[in-house]
Amino acid sequence: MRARATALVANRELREAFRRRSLWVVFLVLLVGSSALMIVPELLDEDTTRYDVVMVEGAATTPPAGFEAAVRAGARSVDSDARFRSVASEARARALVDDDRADVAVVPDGQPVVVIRSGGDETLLAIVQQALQRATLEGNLGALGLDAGEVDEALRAPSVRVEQVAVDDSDREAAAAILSLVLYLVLLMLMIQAANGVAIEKANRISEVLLAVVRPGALLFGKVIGVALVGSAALAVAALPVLVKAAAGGDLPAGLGPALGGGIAWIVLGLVLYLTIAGALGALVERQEEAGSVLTPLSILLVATYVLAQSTAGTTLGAVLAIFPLTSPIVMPTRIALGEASTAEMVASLALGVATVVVVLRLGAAIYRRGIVQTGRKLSITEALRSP
Amino acid sequence: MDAHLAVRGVSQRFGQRTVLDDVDLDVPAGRVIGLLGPNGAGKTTLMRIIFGVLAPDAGTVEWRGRAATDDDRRGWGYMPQERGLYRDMRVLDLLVWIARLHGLDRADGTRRARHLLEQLDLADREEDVIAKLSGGMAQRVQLAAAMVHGPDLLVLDEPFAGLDPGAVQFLSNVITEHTASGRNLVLSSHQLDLVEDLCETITLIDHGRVVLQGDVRELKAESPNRWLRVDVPVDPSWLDARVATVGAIDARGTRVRLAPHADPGEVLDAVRVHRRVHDFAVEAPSLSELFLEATGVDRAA
Repeated sequence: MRARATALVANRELREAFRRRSLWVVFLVLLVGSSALMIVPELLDEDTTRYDVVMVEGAATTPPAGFEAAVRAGARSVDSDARFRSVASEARARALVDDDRADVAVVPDGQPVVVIRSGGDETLLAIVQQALQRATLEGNLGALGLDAGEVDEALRAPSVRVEQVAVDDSDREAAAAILSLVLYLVLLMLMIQAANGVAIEKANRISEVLLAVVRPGALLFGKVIGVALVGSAALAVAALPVLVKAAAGGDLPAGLGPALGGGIAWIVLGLVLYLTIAGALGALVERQEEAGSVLTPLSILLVATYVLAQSTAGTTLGAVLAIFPLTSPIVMPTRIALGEASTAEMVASLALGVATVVVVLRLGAAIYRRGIVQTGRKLSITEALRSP
Repeated sequence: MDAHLAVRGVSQRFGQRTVLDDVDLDVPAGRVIGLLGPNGAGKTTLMRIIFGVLAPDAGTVEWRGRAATDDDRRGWGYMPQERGLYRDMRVLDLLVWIARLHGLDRADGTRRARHLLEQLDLADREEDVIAKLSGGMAQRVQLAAAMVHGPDLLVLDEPFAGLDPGAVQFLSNVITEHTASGRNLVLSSHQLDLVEDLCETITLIDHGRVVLQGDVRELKAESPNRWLRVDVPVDPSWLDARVATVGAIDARGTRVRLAPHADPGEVLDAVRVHRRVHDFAVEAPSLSELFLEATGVDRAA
């Protein structure tokens, strides 16, 4: 019967939330914002660098056969692309490079000239030089009587893959920033909603009617579950564009996928912890307007957690905050996004979190049960716990 | 089986203050029971204890011969003194939801809620949110919320407070219908005169203690005090203070308190010396007079 009552209370919370226009507005904003975050980088990102290569036509000698193919192959090996065009004179080619309208100009000759801006792309210079050499070698070997297959055989070298050691982490950092911001905002909003809901029930004396039928625990947890489900729906709406993009095979910021997948446990943990505490605190107030002030310590903790989640990345403090129950719901998903969380950390954090949930549920129900029936003035937590 | 609610030896303290002191209350089926007393006497606290909202320091609440359980309580209905409804819920949604909390399924709850709204003349407002209703309509919805599941026991805390005369009449009918069908009902009030004609059995409490308990007619009959009502204003100097004193003078005339064994005829004659009396009666004490008698004795003791 208690489970049924809890379910009915949660059910009412959901139904009434979905009847409010403001919730649909929030959903729309989340959907549009999240979609924009997924789509805009695709539009801005030129994905691959394109090198503009200018060839001088009618130079004394034509570029060696195979030069263009060699440049394209070289560009591909660094995830780039090359575009060729021809101009009539060497002067014109030099001018284009000088004006930054082309990246490199090649004047094929007995002694080919490569024109590049000073400080220009060294990778490109290397690709062009190598391509020229290879094309020239191919020509020379051909002249010595080797057929194309023999030339290829002679020139075959293991393809070299270049790895950069300073890995670009900006994607992971962006994913962590977005995730912690969304979690922070959702927790803050829902926590206010839970405390407000309880405060309204107490101030309007609806609780008098309800308590005669429903045990206080069922009333509190039903509300926590209902509000958490509304919040989860909001998170799901925000995650929808991410999932669609992933399903369509689009590039996601590195770390966002694992953080969303692995972070769900901490998101649930955070919702239960913060909403239960907020609901219990809401039962202490006399008037609905006091609900905000009674939440202040919890709000401050949440803001601090959000700020620290970003700034303590990679530090021991960060590792501690990822395990501490009230900070772990935001810090741990952030660390997962950054790829910093170890399995041991996650297990410790989750175990401690679940243990805290058990304590908070009991304590929250006790505060709520005593607070909700005592009207006349705002209560403190100790007063609520001391009263019969 | 004894179909009644029995409160036995309930005591409750809040800090240093004793709110209820060894209170007994019986609510048998088929009778209107009044839990009466001034504001602050402990009536609401007792009702909260009946519903298990508060756990008493001592005493028990029994239903049909054994300690009341949560399941028993789900079958009861409560209209608290402090009225409250979800202001942004639709009338029908709210009533059906409350019916389901009491254990009805959605279909039964909807049927009962519609039936009650019909009776309460609110059938055309079932889709409106409560905030849009007038105060009187909201009160009727509150009553519906207490009754939507067809409770065996109905507990009404100060049900008449703030009602307009039409609503008072309606509520009185609801109360008598409920008990006439053999079910249990207890109501509280501090306006003793308002519920005088409604309550069959009363428990009067003051400062958390029972000061008078029993059948209203018997209590009145047992009281040694009698009152003479005359339809003219009476000057105290007309009367022998050892035999009769002026109780109250209002637009309807005067209530003269008769000393035990006083002859009402002699007192009436004393008034007729000064004024022509068209209407008079010898009456038992009213509930508030019984209350004053009881608390007066109590305080002297």
